[in-house]
Amino acid sequence: MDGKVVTMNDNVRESAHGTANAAAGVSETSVRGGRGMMRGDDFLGMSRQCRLTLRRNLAVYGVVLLLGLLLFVALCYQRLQALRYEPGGLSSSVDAEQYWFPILLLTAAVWQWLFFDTAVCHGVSRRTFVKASAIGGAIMALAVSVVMVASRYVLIISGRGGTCFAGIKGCFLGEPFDLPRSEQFLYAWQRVSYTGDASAPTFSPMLVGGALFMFLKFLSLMLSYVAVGTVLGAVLAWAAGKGAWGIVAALFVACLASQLLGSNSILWTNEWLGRFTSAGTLGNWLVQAASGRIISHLSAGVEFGTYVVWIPLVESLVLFALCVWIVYLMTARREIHPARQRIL
Amino acid sequence: MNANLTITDLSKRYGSTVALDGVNLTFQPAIHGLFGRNGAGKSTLLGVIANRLLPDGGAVELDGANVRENESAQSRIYLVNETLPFLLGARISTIFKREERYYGGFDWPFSARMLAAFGIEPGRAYGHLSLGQRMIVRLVAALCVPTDVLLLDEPVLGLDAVNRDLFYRFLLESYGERPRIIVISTHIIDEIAHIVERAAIIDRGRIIEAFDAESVTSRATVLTGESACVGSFVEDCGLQVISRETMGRLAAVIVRGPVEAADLPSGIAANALGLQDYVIRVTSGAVGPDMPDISDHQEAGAAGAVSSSKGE
Amino acid sequence: MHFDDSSGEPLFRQVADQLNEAIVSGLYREGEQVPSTTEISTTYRINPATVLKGMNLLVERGLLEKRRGLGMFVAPGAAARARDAKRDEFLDNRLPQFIAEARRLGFGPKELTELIEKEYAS
Repeated sequence: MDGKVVTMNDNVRESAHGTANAAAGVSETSVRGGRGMMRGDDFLGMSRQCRLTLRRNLAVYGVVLLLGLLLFVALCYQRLQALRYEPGGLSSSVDAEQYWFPILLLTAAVWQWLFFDTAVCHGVSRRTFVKASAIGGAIMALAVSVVMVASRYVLIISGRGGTCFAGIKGCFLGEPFDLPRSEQFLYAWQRVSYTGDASAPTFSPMLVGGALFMFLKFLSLMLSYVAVGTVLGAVLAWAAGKGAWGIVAALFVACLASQLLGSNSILWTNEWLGRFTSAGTLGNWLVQAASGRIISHLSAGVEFGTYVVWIPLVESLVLFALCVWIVYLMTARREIHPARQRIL
Repeated sequence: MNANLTITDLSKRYGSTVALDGVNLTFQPAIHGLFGRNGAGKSTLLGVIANRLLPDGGAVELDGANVRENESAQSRIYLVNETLPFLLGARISTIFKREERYYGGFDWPFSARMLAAFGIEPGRAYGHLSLGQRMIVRLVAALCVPTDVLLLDEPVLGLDAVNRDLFYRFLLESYGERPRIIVISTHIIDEIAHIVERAAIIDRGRIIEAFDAESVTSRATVLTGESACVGSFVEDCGLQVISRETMGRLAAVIVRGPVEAADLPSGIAANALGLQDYVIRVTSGAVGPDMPDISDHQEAGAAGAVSSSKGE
Repeated sequence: MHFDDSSGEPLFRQVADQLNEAIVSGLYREGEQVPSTTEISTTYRINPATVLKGMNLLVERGLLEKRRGLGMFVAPGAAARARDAKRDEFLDNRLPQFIAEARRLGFGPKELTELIEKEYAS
């Protein structure tokens, strides 16, 4: 017990003073928690833990969005360069809807799988984690949609940079990227003639709310990507928690395989699809109901008409809600076992 | 700020393995020791309190509120264990900033002083530290967040003797300035025997004893002497035997409770048991306080080396 | 300070004894402040509650006095009282033990007295 000890403890007293104040702040906060909507605690129905989790989630998505856009721009540039040497192109334009699928799916899955531990180890409840993931995922889907649809729409109305297949007033612009499943909602109908050049379909005039419909359809796609990715993450976590790394590996392989099949659609030939969706069949009805468009087989060709964007939108919202619910059920019993080594 | 952590009838199963079997325990601001063998359920108990594991039955309440999925309760509880809840790439100061946001405060001067004493630069990346240093960083964070409940599961795992000693010092300093519920589970009991105020012994998922650590000296006595002599003395006084070791004609019998020196016949020496020895005796093998007598007793020192198949 | 578990003496008593010893030896003089609970606690890695209990024992014995907001101080006349306490303890415990041990080893009272006198002289 010499002089040194005393000085040391004087320092402690000083530093601990700060701690005591901070501690008082915390207990105040927890007291206020019950009443809610007080500054510094509940904000928009979100607890401090929820806001911090959402912030982390958005940080992760933000980085992914940035990198994703960078790569996307590079791909578009590559496409334009290719067009310069080979007008019409050997490959098709960059399909933005397909491009974002693996990115959103994997990011949502990785978040759900690997960031859970850090959150729960910091006092975040499971319910909050799922809630924050859902909010963050929706915001990410919205952000991707705004960026992609806006740039695509500008490209279409400016009519620059590609070929415009003019029907009457409609215009189909394919370069350097497109949103094939979304931009049809710009028009009331599209006709593909059996006899004429199939690559030059005819369009109705652009709808007044076309841009909005296109946006909603694209958003519904992005939402479903995130939703499915979140479920995938929960399943991966469940399998990894059980130590079933075989299932984890199988899921990853399945994911990659579906990606390959989706892009090099050998299986999805028009013939196969046509048989499934020929007029009057149940398959046709289902596809119409799901996609929001009505396929009429006329004598001269096929008319894809009267697009109802609300159907896919509602479907994706239902899917999103369903996925969040499934994830919540899977997460409610999720645990963190101390013995297992963690990556994050 | 007199926090009260009450555990009522808590049970937890992993498949068919029972990890916690009706645990009842109350913690009040003090330094508590939680002792037991590998697989006894220490980590599971702490994990359930911190909401990382979910109980199958019973409840943990902090000041009357169930802590399960309760964020305002969990923001007052901090658990340090083997799990690494920090991003490996993050710098130590970044990690501390995150803890500050989640727990609503951080004692920066104290953390700086501790890191300096442990010789760790705050600018270094967590992933570049050795395992022992990572544990130190987690402990420093734990002592600096303003929580009312601090759970330390094997806190000195991987720390060298000097760092362990430093940690005990900082722990006491932190506690002295801000008394709160601190629960330490460790196998190096000797080192914290004087540091803990209360001790709880857990064995096969049940709390078998909880007592003031200081009273351990009167909880059991080693009687050493000639075998027959000790035997008859124990029998005459009706003492409860915890364990018995014989070496030729010499016997060392551990009995429950204190034995007055004045009552001893000549030829028998009485010694008190330290906390570590006491824990070893009551948790080793088949001998528990409920089943007092056995004739052949295993070498108790092997207790620590025996590992259990049950995950803690 | 040194603490021993196998003595059977509760830790807070050992803390009290050690402080008592420090007062007897003049390490802490009358009217002087003794180290705070936290200081003793952190220096010797002992729970502050135990340290406090030990100190309170000395307050009861009149060796220490609390001054509100300042800490613990050695009470006036504490050294003499502490020495008396040590003497009593010596007479009550150590001496009988010493005699018993001597008897067990076969020293007679005369032999022992001679040995003691010789030891004193040296």
